[in-house]
Amino acid sequence: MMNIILALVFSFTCTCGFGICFGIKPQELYLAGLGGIVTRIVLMICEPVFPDRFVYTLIAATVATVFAEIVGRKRNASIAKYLYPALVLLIPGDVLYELIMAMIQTDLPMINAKLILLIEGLAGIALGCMIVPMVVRNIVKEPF
Amino acid sequence: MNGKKELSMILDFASEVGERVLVCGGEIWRVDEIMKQVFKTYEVKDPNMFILPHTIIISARTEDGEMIMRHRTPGEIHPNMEQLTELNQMIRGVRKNRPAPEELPELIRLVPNKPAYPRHMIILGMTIALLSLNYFIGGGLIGGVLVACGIIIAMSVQMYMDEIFPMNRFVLCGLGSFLAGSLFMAAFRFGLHDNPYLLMVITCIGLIPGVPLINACRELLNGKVLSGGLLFMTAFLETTAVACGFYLSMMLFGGVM
Repeated sequence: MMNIILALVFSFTCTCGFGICFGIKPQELYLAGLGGIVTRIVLMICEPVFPDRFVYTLIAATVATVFAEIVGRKRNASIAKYLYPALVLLIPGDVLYELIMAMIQTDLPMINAKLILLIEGLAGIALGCMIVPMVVRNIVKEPF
Repeated sequence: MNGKKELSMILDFASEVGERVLVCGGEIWRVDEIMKQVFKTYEVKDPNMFILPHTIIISARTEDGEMIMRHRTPGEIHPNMEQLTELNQMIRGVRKNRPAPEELPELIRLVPNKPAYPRHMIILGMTIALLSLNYFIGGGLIGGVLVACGIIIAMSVQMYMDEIFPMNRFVLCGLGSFLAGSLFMAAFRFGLHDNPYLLMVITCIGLIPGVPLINACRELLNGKVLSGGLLFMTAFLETTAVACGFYLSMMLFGGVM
């Protein structure tokens, strides 16, 4: 239980930190942090159920986008403002780094493994953030 | 219908908003959408747009059929979601109220073009974020201190060094990660931490352009191969520079394994 609470607290601080880097004003940083908590909860539930990176990333990104859409529309703000910090926890930055390291060291099996992980991760996030706006834009005719 | 003067003002406005949206970290589809909304609002004749991460070219015709074009080259991205929101709201207002073209320059001046936080606050934000990630990845207490020092060094090099010695962006990325990597390797050699590779992975998360990477995929999935490919290439090159910096530091200290 303690581990879960700590994971949520650190997700909150992590997303708030990235929120500062994305230029979100101090009064709204907690909303960015909340997005991080939502993403982390979805990851905690989905990762053991669907071990495939593409699937759990897709679900987490979709939920994060729904969160950003709701908050963005409620506050009459850009969805990107709440979406990017929430997605930060999903970005396979470490995988890209490890892939390039493997390329530098010409470690072919590692390149294969990491490339697949990178594509799965990026495709999951990209599709996840595209599904919700597509649906919303067909219901609400507000472009952004 | 728009005369030459009105159309020039509309195109100036649209291109400036587009440039600022891109610099604030907005996506290419968003700029595309903004331009379309502006052109639709003012019933611009024969509008054309060509938008890439560092290029905006728009053109339209006056009522006499004369072609007017605007070209802008947005600079480096400095994410600023507040300004992005304000620009979005301004466009919504333009769409709703259709102000006279003469009022457009004043409208854009109302959205302040300044960074949301000073540079040291951005470094602090990234340090907080990476310290939290350090918990998930299991870097430990000393690992956390080292990651904090590493990211402060690397980001300071990227943000401040350019003013002292103007340098290529990729060289700056590589130099920053080389110095951070050297710190981790020195800590490893002195027995302070047993896994410098892990610390490098945590630090690189703060140094690689994650959001452009996602935007690249979204653009590619939307069928915009050129802009998506360019975004992906830039992200890949920056990450390569970071990885090369870390790799050089490993080589300098005799490797990890």
